[in-house]
Amino acid sequence: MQEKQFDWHTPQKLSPYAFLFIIGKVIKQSWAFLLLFVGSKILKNNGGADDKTMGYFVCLVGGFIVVMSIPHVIQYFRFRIFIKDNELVVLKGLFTRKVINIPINKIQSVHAVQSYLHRFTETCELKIETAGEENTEVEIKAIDQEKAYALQELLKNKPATIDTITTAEPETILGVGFWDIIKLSISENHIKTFLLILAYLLTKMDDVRNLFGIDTAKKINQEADKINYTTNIILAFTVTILVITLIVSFIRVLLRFYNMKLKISEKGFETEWGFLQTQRKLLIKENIQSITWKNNLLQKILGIKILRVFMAGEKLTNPTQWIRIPIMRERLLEQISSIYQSIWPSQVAPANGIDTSYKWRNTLIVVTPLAVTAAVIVYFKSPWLTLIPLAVLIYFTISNIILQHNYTFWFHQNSIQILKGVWGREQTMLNFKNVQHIEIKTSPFLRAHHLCTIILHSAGEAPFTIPYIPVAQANYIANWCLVRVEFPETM
Amino acid sequence: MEYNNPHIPVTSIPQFQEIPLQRVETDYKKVLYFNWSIVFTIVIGILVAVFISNKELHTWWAVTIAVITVVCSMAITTASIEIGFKNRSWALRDKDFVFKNGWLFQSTHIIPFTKVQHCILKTGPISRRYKLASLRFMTAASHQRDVSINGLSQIDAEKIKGWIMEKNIENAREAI
Repeated sequence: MQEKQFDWHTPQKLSPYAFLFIIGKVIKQSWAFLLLFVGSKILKNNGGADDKTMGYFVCLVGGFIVVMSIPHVIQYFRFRIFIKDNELVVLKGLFTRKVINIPINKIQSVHAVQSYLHRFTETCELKIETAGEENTEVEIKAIDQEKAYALQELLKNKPATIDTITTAEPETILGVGFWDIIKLSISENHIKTFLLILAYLLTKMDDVRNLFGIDTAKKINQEADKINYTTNIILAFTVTILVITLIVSFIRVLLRFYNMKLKISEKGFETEWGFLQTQRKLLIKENIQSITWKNNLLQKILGIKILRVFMAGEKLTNPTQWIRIPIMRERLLEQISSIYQSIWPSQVAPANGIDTSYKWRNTLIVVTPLAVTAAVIVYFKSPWLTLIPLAVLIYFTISNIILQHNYTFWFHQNSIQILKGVWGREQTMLNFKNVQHIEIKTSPFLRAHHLCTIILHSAGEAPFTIPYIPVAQANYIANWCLVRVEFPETM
Repeated sequence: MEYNNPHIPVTSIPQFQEIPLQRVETDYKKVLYFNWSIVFTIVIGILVAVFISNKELHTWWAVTIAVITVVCSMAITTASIEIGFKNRSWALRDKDFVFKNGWLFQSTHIIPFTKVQHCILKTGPISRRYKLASLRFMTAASHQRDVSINGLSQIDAEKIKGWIMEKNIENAREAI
């Protein structure tokens, strides 16, 4: 698609359609007043309020909405965005002029979000993130779609001087089709989906009880007691739950991966996805902190992996903004990961494992005391119930044995890679240069066995932890990592 | 694709574990004792109030359990201050800062200066009396696991902070 050229050195305004979003925001903020207004109208019809009171009310609601709108309208007119001396400058503010200067090279990601209203008005919500801020640094509610994409393109190139951009046409390497969606839906974590449905239903039941005073759980129990359970009924019930879970899984996959496209260029990736809300995100390769790809048992059988790219400045608590890419063929994974690290440590370095004591320590210290305590408590209620904590204990014992057995890591000059998992598999790769700080932890047991746990903290992911490895090996990794961070010129 | 993975001898790279670490100021122990004595005074005060107001607790076993719990907690705290203090040490290298702490569970942190976004120097009313300060290193690690070093002398803390800032400016200049 040929994108229109914009002169970003000239201050750009918000789209006129931003007014629609302002109205929406004001209605959202003054819904209580509107509700009151509607209520009083009904009262009037029932003879509860006279014309004068109604007049006051209309004035009050109208005045309130006008007052609420003024700041947004002023902000609309005062908003400007442009590039000056390799800095993205945002001018905004209500009573005081606020100037935000973001050096172009500090921008970590540019995220364009399109809801239906955005699509209808050909606008975008634009979110610009930097590493220094926990929250999104700049959030533009409605900017012309073409302008937004042009800005994304411009920031992707991030040159030394913004005037000397050379645009290379990105190559589309992934497109998620209908059958991919079906495959992904089938291989979703249905237990998780089922638990989500259950949690949702329980919340709704609680709401019904609070609002109408009906004890829904009791009612369901009473009705359930009346049913004569036959094999057919149980089977039908199971199938219904399975179908509902599958449908919900399908919807979740649809929302996450529908129409996903991934373009790759020398500078990084460009992803686009979304069903109800289209999101377009730019991933600049220098800002990628680590990558993870994983699959559950079903995905492993179907040959699917889900790749997650962790960016600096990314909001880890907001899953809607996570970059998750479904990998349907191995070649694609290599192609995408090569942007971050062209040679995987697992391809060239020997495999390392963790100490065998890891498999029983966790079971002995955490799971066993909890299971025994639970067993003692439930024994007095019904001796048969002790089978549940016992089953949990067996499950975790087996899981920990498998986890220790599968835990493998590799490292070479530039990167470290971990493979772990019990039933599914998860692989994480972290370039040493992205490590922010190193932590080496020991306990009396670990010290007695000359072992330790090394934690590599990075800007984009939960700590990268390798437990129960020899102290000498941990020191070697730490020292090597420091060399990569502190002497980048040797790379 | 050309694979390249040359062997690097361990001896050819700087070893963080070989550098001698410097203990934090001895006065910091007094600060720790003072802080913990405040905590224990509050806890004992609450316990006494609960025991006086609740007649069901006027039994020898309830009092014994409470006393044993408080005494054990005080013993563990004292041990953790005394033994933990020996392990609370730090070292400054040309390009990073090393810090060790902990008693039963020990941790060693290594923070490269290039990754420090900024550092915060903090002093409390008790620390100020002993001319002590804490230094907090803020990095871009997203999970809020920034490292705080308590018990440094105010002069040392100022010097370290200045050194890190100087190094960061130097690095920024080199990068340009």
